Amino acid sequence: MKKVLVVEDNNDNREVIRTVLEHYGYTVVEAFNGEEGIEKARNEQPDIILMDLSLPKMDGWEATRQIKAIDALKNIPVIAITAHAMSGDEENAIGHGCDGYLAKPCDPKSIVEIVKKYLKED
Amino acid sequence: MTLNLNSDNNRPFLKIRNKLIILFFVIALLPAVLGYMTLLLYQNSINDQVQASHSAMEESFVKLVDQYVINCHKVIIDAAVQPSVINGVSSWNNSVLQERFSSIFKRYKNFSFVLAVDKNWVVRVFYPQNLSIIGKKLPFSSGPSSSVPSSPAAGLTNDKPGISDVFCSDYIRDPAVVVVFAPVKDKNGRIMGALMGGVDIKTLSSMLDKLKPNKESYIFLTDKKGVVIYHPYERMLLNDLSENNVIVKELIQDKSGIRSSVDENGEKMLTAFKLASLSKWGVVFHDPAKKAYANLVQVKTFFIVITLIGLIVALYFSISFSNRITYPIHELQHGAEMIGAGNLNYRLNIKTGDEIEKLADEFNNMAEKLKESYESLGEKINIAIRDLKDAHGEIEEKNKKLSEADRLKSQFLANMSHELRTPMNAIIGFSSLIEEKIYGEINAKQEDALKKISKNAKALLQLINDILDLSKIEAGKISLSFSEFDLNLLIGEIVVMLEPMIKDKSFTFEKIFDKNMKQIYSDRNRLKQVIINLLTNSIKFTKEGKITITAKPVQNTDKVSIAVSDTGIGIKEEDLPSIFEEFRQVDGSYTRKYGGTGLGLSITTKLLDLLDGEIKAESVFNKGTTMTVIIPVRVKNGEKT
Repeated sequence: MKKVLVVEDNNDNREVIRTVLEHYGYTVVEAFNGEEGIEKARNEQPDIILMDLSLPKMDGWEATRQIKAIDALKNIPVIAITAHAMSGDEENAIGHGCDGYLAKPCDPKSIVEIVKKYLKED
Repeated sequence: MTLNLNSDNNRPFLKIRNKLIILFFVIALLPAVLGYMTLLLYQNSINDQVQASHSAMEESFVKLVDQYVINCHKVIIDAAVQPSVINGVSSWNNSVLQERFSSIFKRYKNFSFVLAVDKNWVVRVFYPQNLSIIGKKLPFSSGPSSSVPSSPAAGLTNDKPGISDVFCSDYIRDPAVVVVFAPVKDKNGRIMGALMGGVDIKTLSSMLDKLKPNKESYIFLTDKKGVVIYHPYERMLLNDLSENNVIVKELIQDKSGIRSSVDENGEKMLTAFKLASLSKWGVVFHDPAKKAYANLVQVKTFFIVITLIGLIVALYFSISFSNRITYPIHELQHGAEMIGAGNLNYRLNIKTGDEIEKLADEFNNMAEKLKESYESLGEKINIAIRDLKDAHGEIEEKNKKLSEADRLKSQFLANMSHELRTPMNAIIGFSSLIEEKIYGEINAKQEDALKKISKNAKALLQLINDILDLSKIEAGKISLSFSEFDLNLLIGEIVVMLEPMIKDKSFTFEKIFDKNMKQIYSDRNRLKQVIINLLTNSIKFTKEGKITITAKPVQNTDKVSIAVSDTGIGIKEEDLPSIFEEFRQVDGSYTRKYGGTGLGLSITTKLLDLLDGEIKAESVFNKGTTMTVIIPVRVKNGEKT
């Protein structure tokens, strides 16, 4: 069972993501801000990280940058799932180290699809 | 500072001052030329005078020579007929004759010697006493050289008195000797002998010297054959000049005259010559030209000096006068240059009391007025600059505020987008989870409601996207990215993308491409958005019939047209102009019936503005609509963002 770390501060949105991923058989680990995200990534060694970008304490861009700077974690794919969906936002996210990008609002199925894509489960 | 007076064309430039100097100088030169011409005339008359005076002198020399020689001759002739002399000769009593000669010639200084010969030309008596010659026969000597005449006999006969040619003798002290001769006859007229007197040439020459006009002039004498009797240069004595000296050559032909010549020392001479009529001696009078014409030279020198002084004075006055005349003109020129260079405080100080002073006064007035108008102009400009600076400050202030407002607006847009999307994500997500039955089975009514929630959520999302798009375009926040691409391929891509929307509709769909369509250069994504907007509109408002999309180059232009035609509900003619306005669907009820935000065409129009394109709509109510987009093949400022 693949383990997905979802870093998301909005409870409802985190619930949607967790629900659909668990429905499709993934183990979901949750974090509420960037700092916690890095800590969970270290402790849980997830197969993939879904990262919201606007987060309290430490935002998703910084968290991604730090994860990508840690040797043990840098190979874990980080997918930005964000409501920052204006032009330039995707490039900005990739620039901070994100491997993929998904704009909110999104269909839950598209979340499963992008996770599958990055875990090469197609 | 240089004044470029001759810059327009290369006309020669000559200062007024120099013109005046030249004029004055020429005027001064005129009397000099006239004076010189007068001098030339005067020179001729001087020449005549000099020649006349020299002729007269020559005449007096000749007269003196003739008198002297003839006088000697007369004395000898007189002596030859004195009874005591005849007696003495008849007996050849030496002491008696010696005593006679002494008494006759003691008083008379014009002889250097007197001698008596017998009829065989043998010397019997010589006075003053000189025994060495007594008994010698004529000629007295053969002489050192045959070229030197040694005989007094030439021209002499023993029966007539005469004057000998010049000669020399070993027995006589004088270097050149001429004798006057008279026969001594007895009472029956038979010749017993002859008396000969040596003419004292030294005395003659000293008499002549006294008559000379100056020390450097000199006289020489020749006998009738052209042999030199007397010459101040002793080496010339006894020289036969009859061949070599042109003057002597003429002289012995009894010609006389006056002419310029060059003497033995190479000096220029004025020479007068004449053969004495009685003695037949040639008299040649040399006067150095510089002495002869001393007067003329003096006059000439005087004239030249006076002329030069005159010219120098004329030059001096012409320069100073020209300077005085041109000085104020220079001042004027300088003043004009100073004013021209912007020194408006410069004033001329010219007090010549004439037109130039008036001109200078006018110039000063002009400069004053110029200065005043410059000052008032400067004041006005300063005020204008101050106002401009104030305005500039205000503009900068406003610009600052504007850019701050702009930044806030962008920030607001970003926040709005983010904050609207976050709850939408939850709505769409949960609806989808239920619809996908992840939370378990739902009944048909619940499913229908969920579909409506989903549909409205998506409509709301579309509305949000459209509003944000519009805001971004209006705020200039939309970024364009130009590239070259194939329009036909793009349309094909869009049609494939829209296929889900038309698969359960009952109209046909047609693409018409032009083979001549080239690659175009524009923003692919924005153009894609425009075409999608037009096609989704047509799909939305068409129930049956046909939708056609046609892409082709516009003839004779650098543009392409993309036309979307449908057989949909159409638009009333009076509504056509307003369809591009925001939040405008022709009938408010359409929104309810057909969905959509009413922002599509407005966004399309604004995007086309960015792509230098345009859109027009043709429609017949209830028959269909054709929307035509025209864009340039290449966007002009392709790099704008």
